[in-house]
Amino acid sequence: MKTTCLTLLMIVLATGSARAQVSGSQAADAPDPPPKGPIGYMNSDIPEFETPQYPGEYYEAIVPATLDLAERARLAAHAMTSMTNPLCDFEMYSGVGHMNDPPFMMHSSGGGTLHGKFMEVLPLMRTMSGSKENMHVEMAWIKTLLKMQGKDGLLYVSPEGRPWMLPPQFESASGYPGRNDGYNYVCLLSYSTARALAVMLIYAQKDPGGPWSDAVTKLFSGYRKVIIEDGDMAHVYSTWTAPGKPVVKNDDPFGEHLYLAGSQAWIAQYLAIYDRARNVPEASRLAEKIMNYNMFKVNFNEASGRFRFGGPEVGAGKIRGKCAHFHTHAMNILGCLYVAMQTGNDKLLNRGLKAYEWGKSVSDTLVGFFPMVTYDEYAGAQTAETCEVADMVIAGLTLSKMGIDRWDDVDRWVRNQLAENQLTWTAWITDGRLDRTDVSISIPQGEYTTADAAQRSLGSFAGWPAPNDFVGSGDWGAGKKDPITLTVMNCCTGSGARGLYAVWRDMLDYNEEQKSLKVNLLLNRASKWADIDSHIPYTGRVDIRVKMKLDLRIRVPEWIQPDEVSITINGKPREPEFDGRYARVGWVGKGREVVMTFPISERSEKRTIEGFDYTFIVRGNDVVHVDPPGRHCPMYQRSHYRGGETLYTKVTRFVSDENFSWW
Amino acid sequence: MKNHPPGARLFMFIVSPFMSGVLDCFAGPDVIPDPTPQATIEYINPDPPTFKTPEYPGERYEALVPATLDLAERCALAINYLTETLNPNCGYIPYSFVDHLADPPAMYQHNQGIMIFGKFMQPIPLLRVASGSRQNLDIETEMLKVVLSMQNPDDGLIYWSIKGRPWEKWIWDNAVQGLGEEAQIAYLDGFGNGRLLSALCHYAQKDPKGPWRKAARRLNEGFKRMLIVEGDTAYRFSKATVPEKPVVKPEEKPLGQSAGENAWMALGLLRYHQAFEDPESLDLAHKIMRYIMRDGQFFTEDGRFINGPTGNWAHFHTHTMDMLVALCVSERTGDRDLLDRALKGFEYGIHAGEGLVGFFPEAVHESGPEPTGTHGYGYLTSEHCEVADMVSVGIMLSHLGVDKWDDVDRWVRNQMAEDQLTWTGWLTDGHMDLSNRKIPAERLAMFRHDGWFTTDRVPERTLGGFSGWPGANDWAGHANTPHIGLTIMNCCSANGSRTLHHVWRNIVHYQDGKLRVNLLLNRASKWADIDSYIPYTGRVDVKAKRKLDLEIRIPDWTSPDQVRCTVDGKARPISFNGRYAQIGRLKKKQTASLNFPITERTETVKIQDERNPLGSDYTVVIRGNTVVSIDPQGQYCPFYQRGHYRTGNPLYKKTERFVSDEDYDPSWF
Repeated sequence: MKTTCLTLLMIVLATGSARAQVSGSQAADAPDPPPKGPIGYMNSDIPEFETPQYPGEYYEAIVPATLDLAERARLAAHAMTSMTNPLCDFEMYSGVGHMNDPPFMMHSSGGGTLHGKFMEVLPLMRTMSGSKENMHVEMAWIKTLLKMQGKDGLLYVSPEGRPWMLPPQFESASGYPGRNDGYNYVCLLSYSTARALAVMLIYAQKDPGGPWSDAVTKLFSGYRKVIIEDGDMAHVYSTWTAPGKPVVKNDDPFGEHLYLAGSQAWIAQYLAIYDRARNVPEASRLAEKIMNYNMFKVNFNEASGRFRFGGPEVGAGKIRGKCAHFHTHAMNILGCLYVAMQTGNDKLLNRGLKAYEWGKSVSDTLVGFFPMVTYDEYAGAQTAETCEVADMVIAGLTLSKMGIDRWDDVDRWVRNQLAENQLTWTAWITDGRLDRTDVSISIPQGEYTTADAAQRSLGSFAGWPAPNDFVGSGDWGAGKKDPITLTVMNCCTGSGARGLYAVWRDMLDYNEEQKSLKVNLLLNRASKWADIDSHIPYTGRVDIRVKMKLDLRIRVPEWIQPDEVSITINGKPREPEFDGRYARVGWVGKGREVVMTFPISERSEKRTIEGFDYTFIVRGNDVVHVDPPGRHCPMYQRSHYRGGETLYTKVTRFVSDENFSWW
Repeated sequence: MKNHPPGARLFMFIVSPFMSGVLDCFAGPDVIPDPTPQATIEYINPDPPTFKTPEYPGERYEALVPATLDLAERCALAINYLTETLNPNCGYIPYSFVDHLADPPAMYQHNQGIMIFGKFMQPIPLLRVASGSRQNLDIETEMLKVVLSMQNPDDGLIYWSIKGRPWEKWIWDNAVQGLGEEAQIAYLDGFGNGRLLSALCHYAQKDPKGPWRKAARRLNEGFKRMLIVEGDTAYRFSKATVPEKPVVKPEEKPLGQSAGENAWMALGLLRYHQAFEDPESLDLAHKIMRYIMRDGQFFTEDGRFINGPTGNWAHFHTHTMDMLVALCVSERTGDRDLLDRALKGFEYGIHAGEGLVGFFPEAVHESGPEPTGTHGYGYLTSEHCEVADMVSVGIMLSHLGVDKWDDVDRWVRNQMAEDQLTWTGWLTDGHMDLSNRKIPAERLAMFRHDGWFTTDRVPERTLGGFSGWPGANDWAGHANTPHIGLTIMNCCSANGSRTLHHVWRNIVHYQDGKLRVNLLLNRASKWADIDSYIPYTGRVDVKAKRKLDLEIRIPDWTSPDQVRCTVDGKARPISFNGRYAQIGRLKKKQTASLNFPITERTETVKIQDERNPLGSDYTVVIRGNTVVSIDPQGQYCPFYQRGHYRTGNPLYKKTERFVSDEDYDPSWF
């Protein structure tokens, strides 16, 4: 995420003072840092609320040890609630440096943009996995959220007690004002504040009698006051606001920083979600206007789909000012699609689709590697923030839900770059093999911790991954030989987790009226309708244990020929008919097991990604080997998939009583 | 030619006359079926006795076990190899070599086939006892018919002719020069016949009423007659013989490699004694091993490998085989001198190879142990034979009170496990670049005669085989080894199979109500089932099937004070006797769980390869004793693709466990 990325990097690279206790590749042992004084909140008198409950059914199961998004969600919940500072009301650390000795986690102004992001996805992760880990952290976050809400409904942060919350001066990368602007409470209108709409909607559904309905209504009202409408277009009056700061109409609020206009897509997306949840068409209308502004006035995603360069301060090295931040553009794709879903606006749908395809054209669509910035002139390799990987996954499945089938894109990207971008093991940090000679970063004392950082960050998502390594090495910089600094920026953790939920939810599509279930992706999944055991990629086999009578359709991915598919129900063959790529299994009774089998094979694909050559061995849609291998935390350690024999894992499956279909 | 190890000879035969002309890869047309004989195959005994088809009784049950190294499954894979890589059209004689890097992969008949026949026969029943595999029982039966047909009714030796199978001509041995293709020849080198004697003893125990005991006795007596006994030593009179050829003391005693090759015959004699109590056989085996180890100019007094008065290069496998048989003889006779000599050889072998992963080179220069450069025939890879031998030597030393279980554990988990072919996806995934593979056409022509090879389902048929020329990081070694880029020589597959069973048998040892667990590997047994979570986590479960007293050996990477034990979930205090945790009494159906920390570390090892004949650096990451990563990684069939072990979350597999009704002595292999 550009904002967080640049905020972090500016602090990281600019510091290096005598107070620096993380220096080079070393980090002095440090516990979680205390605040520098009382933490400032807008609202000390918060309403009462219920402790969140996560009702549902738990049961033990032995399932194929294949990609299990619920298990990934459990890990993500661990990371998000553990990478927090208990001495600062469990504020999220914004970055992790796994390559330092020992690894550390640091605060920065990125923490302010994370609050809504983590809060939005944590309940979703619990709904997927049933995880109840660190419920006390969730409670603390809820209190903090309510304390942040001002009388105008907007959410404010303060540098009181946490000076790192604001940069020294206005930051064009994020749109944050500086501490020198003289405001003690500041609301950055996009990012976290926009996501808080979804946070409040989730808790409002979970706790209808609580303060959430009122809070979200106030927040929407707050937005209405800071958005300037002009015909069929609209924009925020500024990237940030503060109590007492006048809302002044400004025809060019972003100036040369087009990237900041792009950040409005967050607001548009969540306004559309607000409408979906609450049936408030006015919210979608506002969202539509914002996206009209971004697409047809700013041309942020151009008519050809190309991503317009974001302004003079986007990027680094030789391409600084001559590139476009992928994540922000991908969020604009999502903004277009979300609005189109609500309004039927074909112009926005088409612009979103064009940009989606253009984004693919400058990326690697086999594994789902999307570079941090796009450019006209290659000047060095770009890593792939998880943010845009997750965005493109969500865009793919959103298009599919809108009738433009991109499920195979989703399947490939989820199984590969997105799955590998999540930190699922830490032995690589301690095995004694790491070469830290290229690691260089400085962090001041009192703004970081080394306390169990590796274990606490298990489940986080990479901020700067390469196609073969969780850690982008020095070769993977912004056009120059950069040192390795951080490995995780937690903006990416929030985005990655968001992607997990979207795929997990939409891989199944149950129609209550028709009693029909569509299986869109062949991944492990428990649900109230059926449990899916996917043996892919060990073998070409998927087992579906049906829990209620339903009309079943199963999508077969592009690497399978429909005439190669065999289906049995409780061992008896059933000849499927095909509707496009969907095998129509037909009515299946409760308690029956549908087994679909088909051949699976391996192939080698040579790809050049950001100037580097790779040979991927692909089994079905899963990369099972990459050459050359990563040097630090190598990806695709998947040889166990290649033996053709299913291995299993013991899990506690969870089927939630809740459903956030509006999300 | 004389005093060259078998591998060297084979190689010289193949290579030396032909070094010009290059054939890039070769793409075969359609599938080439198994060759048919080029004339009627004639056996010395056309009317063999009848016998009962072997049976393998035991209990089978489904189980969910940790997906860690499971030697029973490896044994089943080995059965696949040993029974599928025979030519049913030509008397079930094994193919000699496999070339997986050919397009399509091919199996070649050559002059190791009949020699290897006994080596294939011997482990098959043992592997079935370990795994319960019933694959190709009919082929096993056919192989047994062939054995009996090859036994001379007069002198008991095993004979064959090359008639109909010209590829089997053993051209370099003076003992058979000038004989026609119809001549019936018995090779006393022993790695065929010596192993067959072991096999016959084995079948005699399975089927006491069958023809086996008699066949074994007659072969054993035949062996005895072939020996020259001098004082406290003995050796064979010739490498090969024909019916009614007089046994005459040779002008020169066998020295170096020729001496070392007597060990296979000694092993046969020893096994006969082990099975049927024949002190004379034991005494002869003892004399042979004393000759080899002390007088044969094959080892120096300090254990160095040499090769007689003129050879510069020592064949590793023959040396380790000698050490192994010396230990077996020592176990039966109490000969401390043989034990000491074998132990010195073992330590020398470790220094000549790489003792962490268990890489042992095909040959060592007499000035070793360190690599001195490239052997004239390009020995830069390992043969699996010596890897298997060193593992078995470690087991035998441990039996004899010299604890080498940790060496065994490391080598089995690493080089040995990786040397076995367990998957074939690498052949078809399209990743291999063989553009640099240049094969002299003349060399290739030595194998690819019409009617000498097959391309029929070679990947599937060879699953379970052991690499003939593995590197430190690649099953296929490297594409341009002087060994023509071949991948398997069947000698190695047989030795690997033999040792698979040997290790499997010795994971546990039960005696007088006490169960000792020596290696923390998966294992079903009549006494207890072991589920090993290593290296995912430091955990081992032992589920008792009868009341027993349990002790478990803890590997050297674990500190006894870090070990915790529970029995059915309740903490149980334990003490240690050396490295053995004394768990104490378990009732039937109780489960003892040991838990201890497991960590990873990085080590750099130096192993000779094509980059540097004096040794290249490899960086290995080790979890417990299991290598989980190697850098650089292999390019063809890369080793140590084990990233899934590193997450700490155990994976499981559904398996059919088998507990045989049969059991054999722990030193029976």
